[in-house]
Amino acid sequence: MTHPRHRLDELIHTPVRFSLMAALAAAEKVEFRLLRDTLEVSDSLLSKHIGVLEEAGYLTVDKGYVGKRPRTWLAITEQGKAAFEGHYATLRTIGQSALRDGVERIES
Amino acid sequence: MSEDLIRGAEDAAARVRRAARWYGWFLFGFAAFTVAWDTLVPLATGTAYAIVIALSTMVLIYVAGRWQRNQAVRPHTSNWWMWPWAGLTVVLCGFLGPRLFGDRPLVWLACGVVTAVPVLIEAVLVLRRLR
Repeated sequence: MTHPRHRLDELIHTPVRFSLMAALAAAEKVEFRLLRDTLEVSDSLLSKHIGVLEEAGYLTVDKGYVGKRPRTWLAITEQGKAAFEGHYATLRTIGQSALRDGVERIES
Repeated sequence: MSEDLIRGAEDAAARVRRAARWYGWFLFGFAAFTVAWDTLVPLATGTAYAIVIALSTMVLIYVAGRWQRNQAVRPHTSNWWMWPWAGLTVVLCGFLGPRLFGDRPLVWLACGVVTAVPVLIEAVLVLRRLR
């Protein structure tokens, strides 16, 4: 169990969830519609991913109104931030070791 | 694969950061408001002038609050600047000003600019952080 892939978090490994976590980590709160447009996914798909991450305690969902318009705000939790940062670091490690292996193969 | 994942995530984070830049401009607006308020209020003579300033301030606060609530991103904020801003407002505009500045608009304007400095610093920091 020494390969870095064992440290990857299965919950946030899908591209949509990983990007969602990255987007949330960049701010205190982000509105649902902006996330949907940023990630270029449908409302239902985004809701599904949000449900999984909320259940894992990685994000919180806050529903409210601005005037008469309903709004849904999402925020990353401390647990989610730690999971995202760990996953991000592991992906970088894998990327760098793959690059190193490639260079060594070309040189030999 | 991992590079694509990372690139996609970084793009998403960058878009959110760009959408959060409104806060930097909001702080610039607040700095401008501070300068205007510190210059105009001490020179207020007469009830009509005071009413106009009070009403415009209320309208401005309402519009700014509404605009702020409509933004899709709430950025990570730091409130360090509020302490020096409040301190300068109390000391310069509340204590020293009425005793020393009199009716000289340029001195009150300078006082407003000095008071707005912490807000301007934070505005610049926010815009640099959210590039």
